[in-house]
Amino acid sequence: MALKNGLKIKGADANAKEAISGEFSFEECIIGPFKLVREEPKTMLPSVLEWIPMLIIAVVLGDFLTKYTYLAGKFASAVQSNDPTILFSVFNDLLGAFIKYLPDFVLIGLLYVLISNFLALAYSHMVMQKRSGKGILIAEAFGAAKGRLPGLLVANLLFTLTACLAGMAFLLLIMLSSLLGIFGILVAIMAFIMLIVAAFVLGIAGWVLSPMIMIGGKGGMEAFAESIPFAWKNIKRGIAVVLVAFVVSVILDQLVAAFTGIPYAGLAVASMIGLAVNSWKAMVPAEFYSESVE
Amino acid sequence: MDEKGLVYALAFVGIVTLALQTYVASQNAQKIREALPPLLESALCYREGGSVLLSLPANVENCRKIEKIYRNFGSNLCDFFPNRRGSCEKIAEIADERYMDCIGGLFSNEYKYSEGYPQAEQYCKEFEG
Repeated sequence: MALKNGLKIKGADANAKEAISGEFSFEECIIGPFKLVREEPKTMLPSVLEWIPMLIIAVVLGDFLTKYTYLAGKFASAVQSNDPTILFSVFNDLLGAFIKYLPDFVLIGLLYVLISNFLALAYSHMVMQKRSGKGILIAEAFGAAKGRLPGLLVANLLFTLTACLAGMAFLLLIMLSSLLGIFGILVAIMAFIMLIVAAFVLGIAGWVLSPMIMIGGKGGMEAFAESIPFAWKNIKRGIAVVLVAFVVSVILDQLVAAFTGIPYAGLAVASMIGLAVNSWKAMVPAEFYSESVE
Repeated sequence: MDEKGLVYALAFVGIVTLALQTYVASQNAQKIREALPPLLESALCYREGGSVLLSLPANVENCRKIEKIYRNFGSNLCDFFPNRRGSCEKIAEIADERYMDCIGGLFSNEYKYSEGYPQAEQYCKEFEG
């Protein structure tokens, strides 16, 4: 119970109180996107774009299976005869196949990166539309996402490079600690703790890049530069939201997987639930960012 | 494109992609089904049933063979052989048990002796012998 302007505010009014006072609402971060998907089911539709790379992967896999099924028999004879030369030949063929399909993998990867970044921006814009009280307009969100996409790609590239460098630095520190004897153990423990903290900070920072660019109106470089201080400042609530979102995602993904196993209608039902889950996942960072900056 | 047109276009893309995905996935599953029988047949000594595995003399070479079968073919493999599920599951089960026996023998795992793996003691003697 709390007092505001001499009135008692309690129970369900807590959210309204938070909205008035501009306090961070954990509930809004997690439940807000669910409500939006339920009230505006069309928000699920943009997620169908993520199915396109998956379809191409399935086609490439089909091509691989057509051309390389003979490897199954070859592998079987290698197991049966215990002959390492046959096994080496199987690995050699697999390596050849990998090199042959490498351009396909690269193209699929690029397509996936483009689509997922585009959707992250579009969903951030939809959250912005919801919070501003406007109706959801996918066309408007797509238009805005198209304009901001280069910025997000630059930010993500810089962010990935930073994360790789940080990972390598920690690895080097742990390797060097092995040369320092007992003192090295302390260094290694410290490095490990720092690694966990850094992983959380970088995780949250990477998570909020798209809302920073779309909702915060920042450029790619600016968003990259500000994302880590932002994540550090909001580390506690960030970890809480990320962990809850992760647990909910795992449960919902299991539900989707369970439905997929049901014959006939299972795949369609699973796909619909999957769309809703993916839309929710894409909107949680934007809600978190909006709640944190307001 | 206006809002209504975009919504219909996305719905169309979704339905077409889902239909194609279902078709391609079924084709791929068929290809896998066709590819797996030689694997199973060959790796399980070209016979159905667990008698072959059971009758293999307990030596390091056979244990290595069983380990390969156990590691490469879990009971999930049986999903691809609905008509021979019974024998397939039996093979997987025996391979599993024999593998555990082998591990028990190779690493002198006392826990295995006490937990009802009487064969392990014999294997252990042979391996260590």
